[in-house]
Amino acid sequence: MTRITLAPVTRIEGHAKVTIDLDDSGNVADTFVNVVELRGFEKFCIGRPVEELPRIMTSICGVCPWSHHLASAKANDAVFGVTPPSAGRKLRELCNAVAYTEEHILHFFFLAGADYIMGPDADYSVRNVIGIAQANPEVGRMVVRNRHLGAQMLNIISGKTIHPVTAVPGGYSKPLSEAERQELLPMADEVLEFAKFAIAFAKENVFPKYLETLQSVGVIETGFLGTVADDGTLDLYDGKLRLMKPDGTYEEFAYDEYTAHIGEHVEPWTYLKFPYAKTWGDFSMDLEAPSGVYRTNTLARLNVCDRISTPLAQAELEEYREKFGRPVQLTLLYNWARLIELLYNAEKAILLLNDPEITSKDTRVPVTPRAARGVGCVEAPRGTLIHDYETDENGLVTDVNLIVGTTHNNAPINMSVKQAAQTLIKDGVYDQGILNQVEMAIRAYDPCLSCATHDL
Amino acid sequence: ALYEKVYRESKTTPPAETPADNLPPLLDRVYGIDEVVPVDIYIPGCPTNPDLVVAALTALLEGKTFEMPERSVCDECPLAREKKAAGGEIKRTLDAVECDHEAPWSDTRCFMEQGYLCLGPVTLAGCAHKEGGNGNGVTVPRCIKGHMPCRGCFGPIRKGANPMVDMMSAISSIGLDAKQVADRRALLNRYIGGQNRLRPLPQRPSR
Ligand code: SF4
Repeated sequence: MTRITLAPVTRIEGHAKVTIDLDDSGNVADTFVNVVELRGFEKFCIGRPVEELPRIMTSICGVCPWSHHLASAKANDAVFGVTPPSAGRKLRELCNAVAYTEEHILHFFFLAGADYIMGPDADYSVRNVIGIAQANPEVGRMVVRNRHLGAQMLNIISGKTIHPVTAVPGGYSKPLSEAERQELLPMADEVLEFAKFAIAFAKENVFPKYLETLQSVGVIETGFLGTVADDGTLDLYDGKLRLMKPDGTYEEFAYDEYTAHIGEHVEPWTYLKFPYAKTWGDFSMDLEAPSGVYRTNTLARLNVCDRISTPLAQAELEEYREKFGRPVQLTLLYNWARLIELLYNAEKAILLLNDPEITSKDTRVPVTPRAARGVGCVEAPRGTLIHDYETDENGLVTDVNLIVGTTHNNAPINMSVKQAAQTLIKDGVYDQGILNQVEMAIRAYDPCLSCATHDL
Repeated sequence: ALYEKVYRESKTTPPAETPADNLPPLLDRVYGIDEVVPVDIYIPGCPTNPDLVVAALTALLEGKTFEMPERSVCDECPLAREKKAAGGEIKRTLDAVECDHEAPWSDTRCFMEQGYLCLGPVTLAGCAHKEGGNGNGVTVPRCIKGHMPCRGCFGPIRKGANPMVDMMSAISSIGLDAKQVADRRALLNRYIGGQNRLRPLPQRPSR
């Protein structure tokens, strides 16, 4: 038996290695994605005042601190039993939309995109954002500029772009002034223009070249989990959870009912747990007959939602569905779905900025500690993020349970890697390009393992 | 204990053995990075300020050393201080600070003096950005700009300082009772777990 180790997996967030075991004839016997870190937020948050958690949980991740911040603030709202004033909610949503644009740009162009734009076989020395910038200087410049715009916008709205502090129990700490709104509007317009460009660019120059790879690498069949508003429209900040089976039928539930629908399985070779759909029977990652496995993140959200509320993104969604159907199973299409969401968030940010309520000073209600449980949930860029807290009568935390976007995708990532390795490695023959395509199957999920093992 | 919580005492997980195949085990405690590899330049902050990254890289390229001046976040904070608290008890961040967002920052009273625990006095300066509109060009620490008190993410002002002790005296000096701080030990030490500071206590403090 031969063992191939890919370590570390690059252009993902967090730390992992891939182990591929070949049998005596050189074919793939088994594969493992070993997540090698474990962090402990669920333990060390116990005893802390619950209102401090939105400021502690952000440290789970420097890439998506906003998602943890907002999920934590929402769990706080629930613990204290309050509903934020409308302006407070809208400011949170605005931050969410802007943070999303920044992140989807990051992932498409810095992390996954390099494989497509430069080609999966390109030498690793150019298969990165610097390579993209050298080959397409104009695109490179716009990418960097638009990410920077996102960061600047968050700085204006919240003071602190990374590890933010402004979503508080009961609302949002800092109102938005008219002067700030005026400053933000042209920035938001520029980001929207870039989002339009990005999807057009990808549809013309990137995806057509790899249609064949799209159809074969990492393809598996699973269910999907995402958040929708009451009427089934895509919602990234608030709504109900919709868990869809591979055949397109679904069940829906409120955040605090998640424990009845989702369980977490443990395997001995990774610190990362495997969430699964409890209601679908026993958990199995068998490629032929998987059970209980569902995916999250962009592909999943665009599968479970019935429509998108903004016009440009809705038009893109229709075109995408016409091409690929619903639910879409092709793993590498995460990247296409990601660009549709980029467009949605860019449109959404402008809508929110034009909402007269956004500059209201009524952004927050005071709260009083009590013993309670509160579940807060948002769609993080990498999937459904659940924060579940319990407190004593002084508002000190007694229990924490977290399920994070990437964690949901643990089983699918492992299955996609196995599928990709089995398809690509035959009779002991493999090279850099092939091993990189195995890594591409991981990258499509945009996994954030430091998040996922946060608490685990 | 962490393994217990994660793999055996979690709401959503059927109890299981701790994973160990082909995986590195946890370390015995939190290590500061300079306990493991030699460090040439320290850039503080969680996260840091991009301006500092530029300054540090420039210094490196020019072969110069890079050091942060020993100033506190308060030294860069535009809020009005009167050297004594407005009175009352130390408050948690459960309601809004008093701050008129449209007025100049100097019209707002220091959050600590309003009674909200702020780690500005014991935290290294460097996070603040220059303001355009509101503050007429003053520098404003990031969290203060978000109308929230500082939590010390730039670390202590001097290497090896003890922010907890220093903060307790800062609190007393403006006439507040440091004992009222909820979850004092964790709150005042949030960003300094390395160098063997974060280790199991002989007995859990009753907060
Ligand atoms: S608000 Fe905080 S940082 Fe500003 S002066 Fe007061 S204690 Fe210092």
